[in-house]
Amino acid sequence: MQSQPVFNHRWLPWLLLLPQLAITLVFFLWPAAQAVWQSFLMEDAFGLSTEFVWFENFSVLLQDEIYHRSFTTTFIFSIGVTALSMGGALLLAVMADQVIRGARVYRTLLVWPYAVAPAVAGVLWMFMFNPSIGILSYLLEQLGYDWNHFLNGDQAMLLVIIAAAWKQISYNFLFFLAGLQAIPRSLIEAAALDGAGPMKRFWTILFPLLSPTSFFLLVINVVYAFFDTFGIIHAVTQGGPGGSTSILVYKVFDDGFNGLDLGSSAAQSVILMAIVGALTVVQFRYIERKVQY
Amino acid sequence: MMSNLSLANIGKTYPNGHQAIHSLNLDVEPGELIVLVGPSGCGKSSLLRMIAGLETITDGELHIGEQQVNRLEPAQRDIAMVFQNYALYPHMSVFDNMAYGLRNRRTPKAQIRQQVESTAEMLQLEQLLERKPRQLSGGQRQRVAMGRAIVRQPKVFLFDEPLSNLDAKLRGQMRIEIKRLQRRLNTTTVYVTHDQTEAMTLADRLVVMNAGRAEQIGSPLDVYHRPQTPFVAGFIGSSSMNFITGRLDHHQLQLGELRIPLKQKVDFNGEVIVGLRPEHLHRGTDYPHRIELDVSLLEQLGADTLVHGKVPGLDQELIVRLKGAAPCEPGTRLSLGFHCDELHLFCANSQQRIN
Repeated sequence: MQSQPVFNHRWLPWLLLLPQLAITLVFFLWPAAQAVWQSFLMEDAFGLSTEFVWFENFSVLLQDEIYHRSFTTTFIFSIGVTALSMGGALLLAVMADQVIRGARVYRTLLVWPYAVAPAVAGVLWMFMFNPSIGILSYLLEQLGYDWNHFLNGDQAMLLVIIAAAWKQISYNFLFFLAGLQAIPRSLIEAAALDGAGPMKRFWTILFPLLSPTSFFLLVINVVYAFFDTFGIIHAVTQGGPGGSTSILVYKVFDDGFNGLDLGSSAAQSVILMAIVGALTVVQFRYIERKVQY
Repeated sequence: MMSNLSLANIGKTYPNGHQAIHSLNLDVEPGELIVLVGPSGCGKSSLLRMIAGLETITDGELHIGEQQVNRLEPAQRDIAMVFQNYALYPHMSVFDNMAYGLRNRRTPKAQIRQQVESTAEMLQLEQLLERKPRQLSGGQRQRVAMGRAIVRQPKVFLFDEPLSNLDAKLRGQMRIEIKRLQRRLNTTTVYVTHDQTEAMTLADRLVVMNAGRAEQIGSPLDVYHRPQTPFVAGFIGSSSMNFITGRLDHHQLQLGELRIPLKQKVDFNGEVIVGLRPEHLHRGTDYPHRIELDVSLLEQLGADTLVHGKVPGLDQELIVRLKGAAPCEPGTRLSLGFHCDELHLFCANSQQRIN
């Protein structure tokens, strides 16, 4: 049995791989290498002189209170986004799984937010919560709650978490729904005959059987919260007020392009790269094991 | 546990107007094994699921024991079901699979252990209690599925084509095992299958279903010997019954050129469908009626031979089951005899038995 294709030409496989390799090289490896190189350099604010400083950028960073705070912020932000987007998606998926009439319309509507660009999603939520003209902040004010995320750091954090989670819910929803539909109906029926009510069935049968999906989504969502939420932060709070929503990836941009501290910015992106690497390793280890029941 | 089950005018109409079950009546005696048999789509699985509470009953009344259970949740009906795909919980060990129902009913731990272990012993599963379902063979999974049903000691067992995923040999073994277990536990059982061998061997009584109706309810031999409709006659019996259309006139049966005076009195004149089982055509000379068969094809089964052929003057092809090796070659003519009381007569219009 010949299960793998055989190429008779030595160069053909390389030719076929070339476009992908070129893209990886130009858009990932090269900038990454540049970032690593840059992280060892220190420049003056006008870019006139450059000095090779070994690990000084890193050691400064590790002692920097603001950088530590950014770590904590990122931590809170990513836990919030992951929990909200996964919890919300699971709830919606369980409900959508039970819809019989018009199920497709329902599902299509739930998937739409994924097609919205992060910055647009951010702007959407920003307008709804805008302290002067936002409809939701107006409603909150009627309820006696003063909403102003331009001044209140906690409110700003909550807003970017909601905006970022809202966008990701669609993606999680699709995976959870597919996971739920892959569970044979007869298992649920057997559990019902075995005397388990709906809640018990969910926690003892459905949830454990969804765990491979959940773990996969956990990794994806953490990566999303860490790196892909730049647009939302930039559109809604620009890291403010007072750096309270300045997550690591936003701080890379802010320090580099606003603060013009290119060395520190590069060092931060190298640290971020290491985190992505670690997360990817976890993910691949896991996917290789696939199912754990 | 002995409990009777009664279905009174049970019917099912789907919201789109499709009527899956037409007013069905059945009284299952305590400890009886009823087999629902029929071709796919005849409504037998729907009926079983209605008894289980997995489908709503739109007409009629369902009683388990003394209680009317139409509106009860599946869990409250005190029944257990074995599914076609076993429906074992893949993330739980065999022990946990069997204990799940007991735990949900808040049975004390010690009692759960004792009950699961004794059930496992009965099914020879003691060695497998710590395994996960994926580490089991098909037959073992099947036994775990039965164990999960047995361990709760329900009032009624429901089996939904439980053997259809097994290979032929294992199916034969499990069939016997199910029969023995049911006898031993003496639990009222409803068993769904499309396999007529399974139906014949397992059933105390058969319900032959067709297009949502019970065509005939009776003991396997009763159904075999006195099928009420051509459908039942054709469905029950391996190598299907031969059907020939003919005319009945003053107790004289006309089949092509063949004229058979009937011994029994049948008050019917007109078009009839005549059924004759392949095993009721014989080679010997001591049979009052004879036909000549032009042999076209032989199927050698070892113990038996199935002979296919045509009788001059009749349109339909006949199948004959003869003992032993083939007595002839294709292309030759074979003389066969039969008794007229082995003929099944059905009215061609009403499709009902008339003799």
